[in-house]
Amino acid sequence: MASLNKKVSPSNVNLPNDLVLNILSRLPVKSLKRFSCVQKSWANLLEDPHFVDIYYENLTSKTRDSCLLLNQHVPNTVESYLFLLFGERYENRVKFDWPSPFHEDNESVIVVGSCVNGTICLQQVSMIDTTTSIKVLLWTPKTKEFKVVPPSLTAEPELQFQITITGFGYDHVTDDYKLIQNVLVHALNNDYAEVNPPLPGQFWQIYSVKSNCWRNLDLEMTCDVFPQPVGLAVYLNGVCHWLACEDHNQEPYDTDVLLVSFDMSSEMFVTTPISRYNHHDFCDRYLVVLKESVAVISMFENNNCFDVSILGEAGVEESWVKLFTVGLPTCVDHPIGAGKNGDIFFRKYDGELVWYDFSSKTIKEIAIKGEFCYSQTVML
Amino acid sequence: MELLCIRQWISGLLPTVKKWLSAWCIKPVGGALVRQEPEYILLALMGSPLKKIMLCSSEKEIFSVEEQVMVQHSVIINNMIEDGSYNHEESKIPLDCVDSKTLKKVIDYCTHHTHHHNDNQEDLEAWDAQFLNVDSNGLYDLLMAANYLEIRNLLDLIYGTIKNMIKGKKIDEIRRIFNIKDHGFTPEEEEQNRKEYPHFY
Repeated sequence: MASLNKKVSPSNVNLPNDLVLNILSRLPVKSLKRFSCVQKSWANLLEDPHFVDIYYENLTSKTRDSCLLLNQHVPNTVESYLFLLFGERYENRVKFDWPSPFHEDNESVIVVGSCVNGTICLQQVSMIDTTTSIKVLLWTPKTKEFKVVPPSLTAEPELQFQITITGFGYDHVTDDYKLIQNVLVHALNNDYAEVNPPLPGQFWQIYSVKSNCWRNLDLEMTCDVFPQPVGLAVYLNGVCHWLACEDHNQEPYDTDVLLVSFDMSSEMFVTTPISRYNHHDFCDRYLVVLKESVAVISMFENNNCFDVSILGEAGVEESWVKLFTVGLPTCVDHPIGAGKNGDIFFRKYDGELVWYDFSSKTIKEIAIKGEFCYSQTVML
Repeated sequence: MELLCIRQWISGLLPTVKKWLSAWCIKPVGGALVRQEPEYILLALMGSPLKKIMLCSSEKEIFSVEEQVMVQHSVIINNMIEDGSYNHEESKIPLDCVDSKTLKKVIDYCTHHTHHHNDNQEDLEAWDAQFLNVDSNGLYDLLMAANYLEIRNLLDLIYGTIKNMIKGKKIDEIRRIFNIKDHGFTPEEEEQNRKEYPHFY
């Protein structure tokens, strides 16, 4: 591969325009915005629906080894299963066995975040009286190896901890897998404040496999993690991204949604506001990874449309690029993740899981029903 | 496995069979016996992969290549052979938009990838990198040929290489790379861009 610094020999060949567009359609959004200064006809490429079609196609993973990991929660029960779907129309499926700690008891097991280098983070939250007990596992399905992540906190009688594992990723500098979690803490009764120093409200902790322990992180974050169990955290190229919201305390329902991007090596983060919509438009957001880009699927309740926006550069609000908006039949509830060819998976109100086929512009069923499901493209 | 042994056995027998068949002057009749060469009669019956086709460059130079190799890689050639529009008797496919130098390289690529498809990924990638070590003109000619012949993996490879070539380059450099003489902006617009984004240029 030619290195970035290699001097490119000048050419006297004029490539046909459609080939030039094919080249441009493989570039990250940031480069495209820069290249809009090269030539007038390149100035507004991402507003041209024809170009966006080609661009979106290139964003999807067409490698033969990739398949869809689907975490299904059976409606009206607490059972949770894991499927691997592959094939052009996801017609082939394999039901995965959970690793041994979850064999007997698969109650509410969820896949947290993205599959990283073939390893998946699993979490099971159960309530025993008022205490939440969390079991966290790092599992490599291919080798069937798993590692139990030790608890981070000891129970304190007067305090209640609410733990949300927000990110699972890989630090390439230390060659280590890390988990980052958010802990909300409050006192169980009001007298606590009188005799104890003030509580932090929330704090962050990070776990690394090599150290096999948790440590507190000094993160000054003013935003709260989005209160949604799935679909809010992804990992890409050394960075964990998740959705958060910031309360402005000015108007009711006036919360801004942000993307938090946390670098697993430097352990620093940046936030990128997501375009503000009219707050009366109820809108759900889901994070997915489309090839090498982070994308947000926004689902609008009032007209049942969804749009896909990709992030050009973390930390730069203007770098969000909305690719397109698509209307869906009213039976569709909300997105649950992205599939192989950029197909977006949804749940219908009746529980059936479907995917939106961009070429035929229709939704297709996969004969699986669920609640709180989550899907992502993996290479296992 | 059995079939492979049979084929090897047949190839070993070829010189003898060839002599025998030409002595009997067997002429082509019917679908299977479409070539006059005796070796092709036998090989066609065995479904041998050594069947060859002729490709003709824009400079009227003829290249002989295994049919299986081109059919595996080029959608256009595969379609021509499948729908019967390629007549083996006429024995050449004219490719007027591809010059000899480029056609030879394309054939090289397809042949290597067919014969070495079981190699490990690293070796294949190293070979590909060496293969694409050409100047920009050569690269663009290859791109257009791969596009015309619809050779998916070669196209992806070249697109990937060009993408890496241009990522991060300055505007003036990009114009040189794509041979853009007239960028279409008015002098005012161009000046405005340069003022607003000096680090792009």
